[in-house]
Amino acid sequence: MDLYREEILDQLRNSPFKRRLINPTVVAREVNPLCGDDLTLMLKVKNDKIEEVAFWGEGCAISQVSASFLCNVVLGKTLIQARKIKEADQLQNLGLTLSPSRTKCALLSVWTLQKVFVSA
Amino acid sequence: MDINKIRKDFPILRRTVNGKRLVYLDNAATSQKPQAVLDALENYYREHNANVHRGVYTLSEEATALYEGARKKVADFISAPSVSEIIFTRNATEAINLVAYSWGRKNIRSGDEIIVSGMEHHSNLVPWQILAEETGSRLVVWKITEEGKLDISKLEKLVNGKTKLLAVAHVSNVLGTINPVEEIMVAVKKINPKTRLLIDGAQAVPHMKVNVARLGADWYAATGHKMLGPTGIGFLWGKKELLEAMGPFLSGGEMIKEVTWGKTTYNDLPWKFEAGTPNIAGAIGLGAAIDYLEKIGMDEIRKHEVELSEYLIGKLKNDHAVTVYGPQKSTDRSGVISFNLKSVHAHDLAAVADSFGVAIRSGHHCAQPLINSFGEAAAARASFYLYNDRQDIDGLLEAIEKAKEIFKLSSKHEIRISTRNSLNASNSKQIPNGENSNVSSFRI
Repeated sequence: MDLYREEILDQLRNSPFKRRLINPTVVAREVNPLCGDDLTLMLKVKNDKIEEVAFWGEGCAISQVSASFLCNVVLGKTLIQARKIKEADQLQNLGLTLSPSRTKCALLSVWTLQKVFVSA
Repeated sequence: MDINKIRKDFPILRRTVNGKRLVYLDNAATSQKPQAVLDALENYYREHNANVHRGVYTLSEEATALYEGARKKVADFISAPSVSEIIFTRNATEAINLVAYSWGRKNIRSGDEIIVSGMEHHSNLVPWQILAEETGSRLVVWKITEEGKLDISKLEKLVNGKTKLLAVAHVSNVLGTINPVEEIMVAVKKINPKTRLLIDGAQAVPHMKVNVARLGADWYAATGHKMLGPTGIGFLWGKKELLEAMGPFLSGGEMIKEVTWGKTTYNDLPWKFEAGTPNIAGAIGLGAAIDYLEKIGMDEIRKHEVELSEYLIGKLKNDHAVTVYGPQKSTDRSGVISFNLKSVHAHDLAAVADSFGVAIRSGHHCAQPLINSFGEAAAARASFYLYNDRQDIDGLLEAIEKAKEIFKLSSKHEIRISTRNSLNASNSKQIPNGENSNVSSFRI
């Protein structure tokens, strides 16, 4: 199954971003009601820059890997830059062929990130 | 029951998916259709299409006869005392909403109580939540046992003088639990004879003989598309006196007797509750589905599903990586089997299964509180019907093995899929530092 090729599974197993941040600046959580994927993003922001980022929660491999990818992308960016990240960017970054239902799994992390800016 | 012969009746089973034989194991979501139902639908539109109850011309009389004939088939199928007690709706969800709207709003008051079981589908939960909110009444949950059953002795504490309604599933769409509705009925009425009982039979009627007269409930809801019928048709059975006392649901044409500018009188049962042009083709299709099921026999179908369940559960139980939910005994459950594979999210398992042509469902199955209550966010679900066979189950088992292979854990790397504590009722959005996170949200 191409979707579950080794690099993807490796991200799943070894993501440096899957952990809990102590005293995060911002926390946002989103759930995919269709399947029960549940994601929390934690950011530590200093001088407008995302110094640390992590994710927690449970969900399918795609949602988890997508979260890991997204953390990698936003780390070191400013809030303004992070705010500009669109769904299309994320899908392109992931480079996976996804069905419409699995696309939602991949986008969960983007929606969670967008929630950060709603609350900020 | 000749499975091979039956399978030939279902054209879709000839399909391949991803180059593999279609193994359709999501019958709890919807069922496939036999040629006889497809023929009935086409035949109606081709030969007899006209609006019902309105025309004096031949075509309209034919359509009306077919439509009302289908109603009679439904009544006989569930042993309803009278055909006028069968109301066609869009589906079971609409049937339940009908009761909430037409009966609930007028009869539930502030301070009253409504009991729902802990295994309800959202369709038999959300309408009551909304009703409780609107009327200022209290929604009480009859929690399930560890085994996924309902303990009748708990009703003594739950049912009281304020209990107006108990809404319960005949068969759970997640756990497969067959609830002893007759006994529940007796127990409830013993404590409060005025409490009404509504049964969600969406997962029962397609798979076993149901006799609504014997069950003693006040209303029984079911849907056509889960029982070989087309989508867009379902039905509500209700006790005649109750339905007669209830105000209409949707209003407009067909459900009226006499209309003036100032006043309108309503039609007799069942048409009082069927506003506008009904799903004529749908009802006829459902009638054809019932004919097909009756020809095979509901007891035969039940027996077949028990055999398949025993086969699958037998295999899954021996697999230490798999957790199966619901009652232990196959006689306590229908052919709906929800399970989880360790360290593989149900979604991913379903994706792997799909690559084998196997269709299983994954997620919360429209029963979020239930899934959450056993400490999970999602589960995989395989559900059978008369056209499934052992080969289908073997296909699923093969997919499970493949998923294990793909997601195999080495001792070094642990894939943390679930961070939940079981049975936690907090709605916390905080991420605690250190200890096991508490991200479950158990609503109600």
